[in-house]
Amino acid sequence: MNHVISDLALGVRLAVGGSRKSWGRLALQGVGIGLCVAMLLLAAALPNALDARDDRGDARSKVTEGAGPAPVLEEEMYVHFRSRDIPGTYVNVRAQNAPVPPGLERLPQDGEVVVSPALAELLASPDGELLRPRFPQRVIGTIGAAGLIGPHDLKFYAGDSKIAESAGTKVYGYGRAYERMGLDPVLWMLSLVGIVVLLFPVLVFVGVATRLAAAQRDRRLAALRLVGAAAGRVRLIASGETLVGALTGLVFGIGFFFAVRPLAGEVPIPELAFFPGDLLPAPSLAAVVLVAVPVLAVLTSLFAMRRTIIEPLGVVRHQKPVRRRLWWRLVPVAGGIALLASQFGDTGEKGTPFQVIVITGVVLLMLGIPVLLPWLVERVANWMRGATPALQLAVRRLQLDAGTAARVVGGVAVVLAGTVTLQVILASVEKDVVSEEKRDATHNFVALTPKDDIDTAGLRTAVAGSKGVKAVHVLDRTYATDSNDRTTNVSVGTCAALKAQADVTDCVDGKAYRVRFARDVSESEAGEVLMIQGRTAWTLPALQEVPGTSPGIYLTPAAAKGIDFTDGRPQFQAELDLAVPDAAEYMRNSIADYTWRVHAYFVGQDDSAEVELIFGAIRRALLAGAVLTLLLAGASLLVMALEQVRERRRPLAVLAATGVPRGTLARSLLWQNGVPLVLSTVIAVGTGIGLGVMVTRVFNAEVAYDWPGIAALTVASVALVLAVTALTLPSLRKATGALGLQSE
Amino acid sequence: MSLLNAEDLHKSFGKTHALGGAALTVRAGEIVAVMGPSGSGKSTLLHCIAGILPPDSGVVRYGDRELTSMSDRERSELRRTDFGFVFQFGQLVPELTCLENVALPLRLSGMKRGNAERAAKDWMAKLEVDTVADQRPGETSGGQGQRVAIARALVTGPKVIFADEPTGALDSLNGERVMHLLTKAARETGAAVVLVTHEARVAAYSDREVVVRDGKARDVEFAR
Repeated sequence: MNHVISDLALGVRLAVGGSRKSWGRLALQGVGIGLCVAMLLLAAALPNALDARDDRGDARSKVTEGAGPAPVLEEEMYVHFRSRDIPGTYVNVRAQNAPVPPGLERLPQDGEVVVSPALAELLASPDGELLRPRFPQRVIGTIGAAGLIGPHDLKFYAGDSKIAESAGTKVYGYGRAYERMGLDPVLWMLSLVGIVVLLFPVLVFVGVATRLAAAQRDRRLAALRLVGAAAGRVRLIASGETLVGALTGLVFGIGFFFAVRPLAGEVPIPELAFFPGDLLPAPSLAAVVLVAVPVLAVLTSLFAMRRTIIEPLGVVRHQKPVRRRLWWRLVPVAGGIALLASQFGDTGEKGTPFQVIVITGVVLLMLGIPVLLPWLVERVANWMRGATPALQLAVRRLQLDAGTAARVVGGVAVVLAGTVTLQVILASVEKDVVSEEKRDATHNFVALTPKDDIDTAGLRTAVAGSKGVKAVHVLDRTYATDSNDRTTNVSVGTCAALKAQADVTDCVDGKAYRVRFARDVSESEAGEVLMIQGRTAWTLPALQEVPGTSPGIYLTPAAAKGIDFTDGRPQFQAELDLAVPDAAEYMRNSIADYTWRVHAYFVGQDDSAEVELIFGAIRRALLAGAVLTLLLAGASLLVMALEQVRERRRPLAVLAATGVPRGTLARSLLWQNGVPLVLSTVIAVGTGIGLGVMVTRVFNAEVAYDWPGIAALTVASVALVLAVTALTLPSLRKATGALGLQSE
Repeated sequence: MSLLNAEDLHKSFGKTHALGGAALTVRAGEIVAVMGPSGSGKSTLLHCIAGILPPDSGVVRYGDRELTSMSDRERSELRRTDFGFVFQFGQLVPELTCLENVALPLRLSGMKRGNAERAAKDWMAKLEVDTVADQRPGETSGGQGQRVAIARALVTGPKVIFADEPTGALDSLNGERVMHLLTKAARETGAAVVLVTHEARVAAYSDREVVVRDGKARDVEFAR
């Protein structure tokens, strides 16, 4: 036991040798591992942060069961403003001791409103000018954090004494636990792949950072072997040495995490913004990170120095490197492909593929990159011949040691592959959604559905007088169910009304149309008997298929004979003039007085923009993640490249001393990084696209490629390596100076 | 009575045959110079008889123990307790001070730091490098570094010291000084020295010369 402690202590002593060089090495290791730890802690904090959001959502949800007269009556309503949906709650407070939702001091009375800080900010900004008419009430306060999902939550509570007991929801209190709904399968897959591909490189970099100055460390430990330290003891000493780096990394990482945490609320994407207090790693996950990082570091270091342990003179006597074998390197690739292929189109009982299989498949394929790269670099380097002295120097160097070069670019390759994967999945999902939205964009109208018995004539007049409204049509709406229990909307209106919703160019009274669902869903056929609102039988006439905004059956009045609309509600269609900017907002403002009594849903050009905004936000988040990881890769790459120059200081100095121009040496350095880079880029883009296609196939979705995005990232990776090479040139210049020839 | 005895050693590195049936006997307390041209296999012979490199075939005996059948752990222990090493360069741990480097083998054997450093200081004084005790190897001159390495080789009271071109990186004056101190200390402690060199000037410090040519060792029979 004493041996173990003293050997570990010797390792610690070697790590903190006290010289500037060893402190510098420790600092670099600390920063490298620290960045990785900070990212892992952020990821470990996500489940807690999401839970905290859900908890606050639960805390503000209403309790509708209770005895006696309800103290509060509620109507909920979304206020739509451009691409934002602002959830609002209109309340009629009927008791002095009425329950108060979290984050509020009291419920607003008639003519009062309480808004979230984000909504207050929006209303006060020039951007919110067109929104203000919808909030004529007196603002009596802002909602506290306890009542908000996130820092950018747009939310309001408004008082309305006109909410009647017959129509409003009876509220007896606030706070109820809802069963958590799982993520949408596509979002689930995006998140899952995102986490795996962004975290996997982080683990690779822990390994890279651990191996900083590995050659010097190998020499040190070989010297220890020479004076009689057995293999096991050298492993212990090396573990002690690595542990210092890893523990320094943990300290740095925890520091980085807490330094970055206050900025969590500043993230401009609402879905990714959190209250800093919520961003705290779950103790179990934090423990995993705090244990896994040092263990991974120690294992990486021990694996890397296995040859030195076997051979005390390993670093003195260089043998011809053993040729790398291909077969075992293909195992993770083949395994990953097989696992993912087994899940093609199988979205399981709950619409979610078997998680472990998909994660394992993705991880195996990602693992294939750093595993395959050294073999590929070695093969290509052996095949290459140096046409110029610079290329010859680089090729010979690569032939001697392909592993280091491959490791240097391997980290970048994993990030690139992961990001390309996400881009392909994203492009495929986006293609699906945007195609629906583009169809909507051919029509521009606001569908107005009165919620209560209101003066519809007044509503129609108000809408018709609004700026940018071309016409107001009326649609009678109901629903029908067929023998297979499939339900479809039935809308009846004049040809002008139908034209606002669907492409019914040949419309005459008596015609019947159908807008199909976007996906291939079987629907009722002509001649089938449908039940209108579950009670009146109606035979489906021959229908003409037309493109439109919303799936359903569209009938002209003459084709709708026999349908009873007594229980149905009319829907008004406010047809908008595309030439008037913000026509929808003007129209919504024209009916501001109706508040929750009219539901207004906009279909048209802006909705397409909304989708673009959402995908733009996801793309920005993805890009931010990729840039962060690429910078991390770049930092590792730079440190390793500098380390390489320092390691080879003497031979480089000798070359310079014998007359080899520095330009030749610089170009040789560029080739040394460039050849593995090109190979890694090819393999990364190939893997990324392949992985993206396979994950998309798991969901049976149509594959799409974001070529500009892929190209941009590829160029960024290439630029990164070029920049790193450029940054190593001063070090090369120094190494090739006269001082480089000094051995001590 | 032979202390170290090697018979019919063969060692190849890939297609390169370094040793082809080399044999060597070292008696207790004697200084043997192993000479030969570059690439003749003299360093490989030293590494094999010191238990650093396992030969492909052949036997190395140390006293009544067969070195070639020992485990790595046993050979490591032997290197720590009975053998000492001095190489041309690179054998010192750059992170440790010179004093810590000299004390290292004792500390690896479990001696307490204070005792180990006291013993190390004595040897450093004998080798006239006590002035650089708190400096790191990189801060010393080549000659001082070699004398620190000799102190480290001697601190455990070894039976054999293996020296591979110990003056190869030094000027003649420093080389002479290092050889003088090495052989003097070895004779005082009764340690045998196996000295690999290609310089006759260095070999002149030995009792006996062995020439290695094409991987085979041959005694040059004369006594000084």
